[in-house]
Amino acid sequence: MPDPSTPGITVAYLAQLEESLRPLSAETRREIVAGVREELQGLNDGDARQRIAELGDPEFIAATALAETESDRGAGDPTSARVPLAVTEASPAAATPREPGWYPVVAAVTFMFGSFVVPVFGTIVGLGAVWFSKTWTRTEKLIATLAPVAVLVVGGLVSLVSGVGLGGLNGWHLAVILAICSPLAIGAWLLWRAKRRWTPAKA
Amino acid sequence: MSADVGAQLRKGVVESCVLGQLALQPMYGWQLSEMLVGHGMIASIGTLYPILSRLRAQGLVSTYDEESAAGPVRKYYELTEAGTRQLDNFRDQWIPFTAAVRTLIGTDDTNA
Repeated sequence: MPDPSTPGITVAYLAQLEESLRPLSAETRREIVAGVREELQGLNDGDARQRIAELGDPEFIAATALAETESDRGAGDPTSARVPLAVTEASPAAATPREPGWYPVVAAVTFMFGSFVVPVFGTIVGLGAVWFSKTWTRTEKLIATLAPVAVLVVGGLVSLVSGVGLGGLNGWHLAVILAICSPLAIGAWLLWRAKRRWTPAKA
Repeated sequence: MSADVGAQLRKGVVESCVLGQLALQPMYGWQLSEMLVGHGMIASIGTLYPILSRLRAQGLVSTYDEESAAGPVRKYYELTEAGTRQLDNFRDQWIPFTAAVRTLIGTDDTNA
């Protein structure tokens, strides 16, 4: 539990770090967060800012940790190309791509437009592909899954309560159509999150 | 191959570098991270903790908690006896190894 005297920036940084470390094992994540928290503990706002600047971008920390755990699994093969140079160089280069660059794009696009090819099922296939991707965090995947359902439920409730319709369609039909189209917006959001993850943070 | 020479070299020695630092004195995470990042051996503190996990799993490093004067409890890492032996082993091999490599790779004006 953060005590009230912990600077806001520390709380925010630790939360970001937890989120970025999601792809790693629970144990590794716990260790890294504990180590960083220990370092920031007791620092006032100014000192915390400085230390946080020295620690670096949480996404970069997560990428280097992942590279280290993945390269350990491939240990014993010195010619293995699996150690991504970008993260073993001592410079905040782009985060390690953990899967082919085209995969998350195809997943997101299938999610967005799937229903127009094969109604409902196309979107479900796209959603499945999104879940299998390593590009998005579990929270983001849950949002993508639940948002169309939420749109349907909220839309349905609104139509029930207000009896509103549009151009010959009753409220319920409208809610269904909105739910079917919501993957377009959600998919665009997923693509934006993916792009943000691949682009190196400014120093 | 040319571009990831540095990465391959570091991969082979970074654990021994951690052992070498801990031989001087027990250290906490940030202390170790600063030293290794400063020497270009690791990219961030994120790289360090999986390494420390491995060393602990191999029984080369152990930890203890200690309150600092300023208040926060810190987790310190220290060498075990096995870790000390491992470091000595590495030190014994390192000098002859670098000498052999230097001979084999030559310089710009010896090997073509």
